[in-house]
Amino acid sequence: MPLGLRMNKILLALVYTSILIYAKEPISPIPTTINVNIKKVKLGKKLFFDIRLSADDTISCSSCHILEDGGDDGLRFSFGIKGQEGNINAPTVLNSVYNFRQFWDGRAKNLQEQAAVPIENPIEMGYNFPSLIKKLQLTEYKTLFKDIYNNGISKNNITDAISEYEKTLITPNSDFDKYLRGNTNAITKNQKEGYALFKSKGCISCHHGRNVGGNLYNKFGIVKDAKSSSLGRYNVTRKERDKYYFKVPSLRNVARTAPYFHDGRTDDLTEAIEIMAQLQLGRLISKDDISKIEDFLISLNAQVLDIGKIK
Amino acid sequence: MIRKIDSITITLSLVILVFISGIFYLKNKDVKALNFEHYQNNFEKLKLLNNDYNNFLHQSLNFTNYDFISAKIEKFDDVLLNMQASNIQEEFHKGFKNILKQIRKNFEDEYFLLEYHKSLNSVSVNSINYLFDLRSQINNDKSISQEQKNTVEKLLFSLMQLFSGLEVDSLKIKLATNSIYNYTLKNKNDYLLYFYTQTILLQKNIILLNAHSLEHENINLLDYINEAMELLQSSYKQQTKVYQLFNFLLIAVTILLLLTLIILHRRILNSSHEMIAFRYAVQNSDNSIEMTDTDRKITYVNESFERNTGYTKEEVLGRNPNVLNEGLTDQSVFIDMYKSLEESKPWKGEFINTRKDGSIFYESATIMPIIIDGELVSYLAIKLDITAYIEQKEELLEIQKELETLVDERTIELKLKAQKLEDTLSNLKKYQKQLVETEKMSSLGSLVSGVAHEINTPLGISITGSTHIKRETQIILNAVKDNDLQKSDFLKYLATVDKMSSSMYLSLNRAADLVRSFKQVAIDQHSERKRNFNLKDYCDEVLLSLHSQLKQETVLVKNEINENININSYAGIFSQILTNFIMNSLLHAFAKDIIDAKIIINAWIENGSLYFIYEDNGLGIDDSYIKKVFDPFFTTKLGQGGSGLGLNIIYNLINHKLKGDIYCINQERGIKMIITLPMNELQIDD
Repeated sequence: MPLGLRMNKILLALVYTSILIYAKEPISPIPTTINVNIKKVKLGKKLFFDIRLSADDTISCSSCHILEDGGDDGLRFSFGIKGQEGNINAPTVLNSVYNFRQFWDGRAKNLQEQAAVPIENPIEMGYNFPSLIKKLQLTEYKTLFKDIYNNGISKNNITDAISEYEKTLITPNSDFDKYLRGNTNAITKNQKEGYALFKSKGCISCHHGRNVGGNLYNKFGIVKDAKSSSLGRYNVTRKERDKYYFKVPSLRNVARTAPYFHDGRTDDLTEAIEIMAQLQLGRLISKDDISKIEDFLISLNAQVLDIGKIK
Repeated sequence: MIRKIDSITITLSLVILVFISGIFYLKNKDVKALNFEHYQNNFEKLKLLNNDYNNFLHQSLNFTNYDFISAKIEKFDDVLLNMQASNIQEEFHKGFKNILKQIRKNFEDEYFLLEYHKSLNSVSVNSINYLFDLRSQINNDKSISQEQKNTVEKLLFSLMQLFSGLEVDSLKIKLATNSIYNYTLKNKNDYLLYFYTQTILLQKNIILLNAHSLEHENINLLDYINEAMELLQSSYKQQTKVYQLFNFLLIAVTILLLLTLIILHRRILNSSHEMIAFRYAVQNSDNSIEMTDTDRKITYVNESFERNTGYTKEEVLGRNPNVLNEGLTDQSVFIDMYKSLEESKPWKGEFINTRKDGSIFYESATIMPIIIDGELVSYLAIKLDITAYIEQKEELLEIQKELETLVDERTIELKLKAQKLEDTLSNLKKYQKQLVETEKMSSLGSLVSGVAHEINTPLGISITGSTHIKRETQIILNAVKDNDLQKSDFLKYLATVDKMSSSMYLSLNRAADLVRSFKQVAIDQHSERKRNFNLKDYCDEVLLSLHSQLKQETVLVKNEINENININSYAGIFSQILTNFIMNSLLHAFAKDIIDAKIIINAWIENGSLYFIYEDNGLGIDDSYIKKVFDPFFTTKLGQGGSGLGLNIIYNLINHKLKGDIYCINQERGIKMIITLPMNELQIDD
């Protein structure tokens, strides 16, 4: 292939890239409908809030995923049974159904896989399923499960119910989603500018899609060393190139899910944006621009779908 | 009938069975075909998804919404899981286990690669974006030397070339990068510093991305998907062949069974026609017909039965046939019947039964056990009302008795009559004997009168002649005495005497012959004794004695008698017979001159008889005479030497002496004499 043609191709590629970045909205709104088994959802909800799922009846799923508080617990690291502190920041449960993998290191393929892990984690709920099932058999759960599942209470059925409930923990109708759906006045001029900066500065290349993130892994500290204590995905794959790779988190409700990053290194969203610009993009972004971006991120806030309405 | 129904049932069941199994099999086939399509679609999906991954992996520097990629990865995972959980191994080929495993392994490799690519692509897109962003800022920055700006321009260009996989002088890039780095160290320009940082990052990422491309080439996901599709198609084809064969067999078997059904149906139609005919016959038969089951419960009666017994069908069905029996039939009849039927043998007999109205009737019955396939299924009784016959028979018996008395009486009468007849018969026999004797006497009388007559004539002539001679002689003697004898008178006298004496001689000679002949009749029969002689030779001797006559008449005589005939008999009779025949032929048959006159003599023994045949080719005998040839004194040559006794004598000799028979028949030319003699009279004594 002659050099000229190759160059043309490269230039075309660049043009195409720009077109892609600016022509089509890279963020899509949260769907307003969900398809779930309502019986399972109810059972899952009961389980989600039930401290009996922990070894010493102290911790429930909702202990660390407070729905009214952005779906996480607002702590740098969460506390498990017997006051044990975890080593990673609890991600929000909200919209987690739209994440391509669960956990920071993506070790769970889906919500159901995820749901089992904290229960068995000794520093979280510190339980095991045989004992849990035995315990639940003596309770109202026996009939509740029997109503839905032929085989009654089982690990699979417990996690299935919980994950079914978690599918309903979505936050549609944020101001930005309304904007995306055509309501141009749903967000402020500042927010619109922030969105444009979000795209032009390159944030969008990782934070896009339905969940504004949550659909790829990337290295924490691309341009500069992030000084992360966790090796991230490496812990799962044991591959050198997975070191410091984490699931890119969703920015939905980001303004309400501080502290930020897997190690919760900051409570401040502005600072978090600055850290991102430095570590990930290696880019200079003005304070003004950052504030606009922050403004935009606030437009992603929305209330969790009221399960009460489903009743 | 039962057999045919059975075979029809069997055939029908077979047809249904084949049909159902065919439907099941074909349904199974449909399921398989559906599954085949499902699997095929799934592999097709995997292929398309893999194609999307390839496109994504090769489209570096494009911003991509990873939601779609993630969805596609999830989709692949789902489809693959679905395939792995499916029965494709059992349904199509065992090889799928391994192939799916390989697809899974390669997919996981590809998945990792995709995730890395996502990460690196994001970063690289940002890097390039930022580098171009920085370039414009650098170009606008007047503090940066043009030379450095050019270096930036060249480096960016080289990076683009590198990114698109072109051969780029890495040293050139390194020099340019170092030049920018050195410049920033000296001139503290943030733009250039960021540009440098991004350049380093981009270079690193380009190398990684290129490495991914190489790594991707080692992933054979597509090969395995293709292999899976080929295997699916080939095993489906194989199965389709089997199905086609099965279909063919199914159709063939169905057709065969249907043909069998048609044939059976036709047979049954025929049988049912026969059945209808039989049924009609049975229904309308004058015979009462009843059928019972093996427990001897009536299952069927025909109209005759109803008519004859006065019972309706409904009244007797399910009942024992002895409903008709009020004990009039002798118990032994039933014992005999049961015995026969127990042995499954037909039984014949008579019943005295009672009708519904109490009247008695006689029935002649044939009861047959109906055995089908060696199993007793029913009894069939065919009965005929023989009341009228029995009554008639009784009447007849009475008549017979009367007749017998009558016959006895008549027999006595007849006996008496027979006795009378017998007496009459013996009387008649007596009369007959007397009659025969009388006849004989009369015959003898006529013979004697004939003989007398015959002899009388010559004797009369002789007497007249002698009287004439005496008278003439007296005349001469007188003349001599008177001496008046004249020579002429004497000569006249001598002539008369001569004439007279010769006439008398002839007459007397004839009389003598007659007497001799007559004597022969009486005497010859008693004089000769039986002796042994050869018939042919003897006849030759006789012929020899007749030689002169035969020669004179030039008659050819052929003696064709079998040389071996030796008999013990009266030779003289044979000589007499033959001589007589020959003389008759010479006198009568050959009276007129006949050219080639011929006599044939023949004899043979046959059936215990000696046949002696004499035939000539002469004039024959007039038909009006032929019946009379054996009568005594029958002659056509009276006065010419025939006495009319020749054949009569022969007839008598043959009849009485030889105990034989003689017949005379006219031939076309001449006569034929047939003499049959019983051989027991001719047998030579040893």
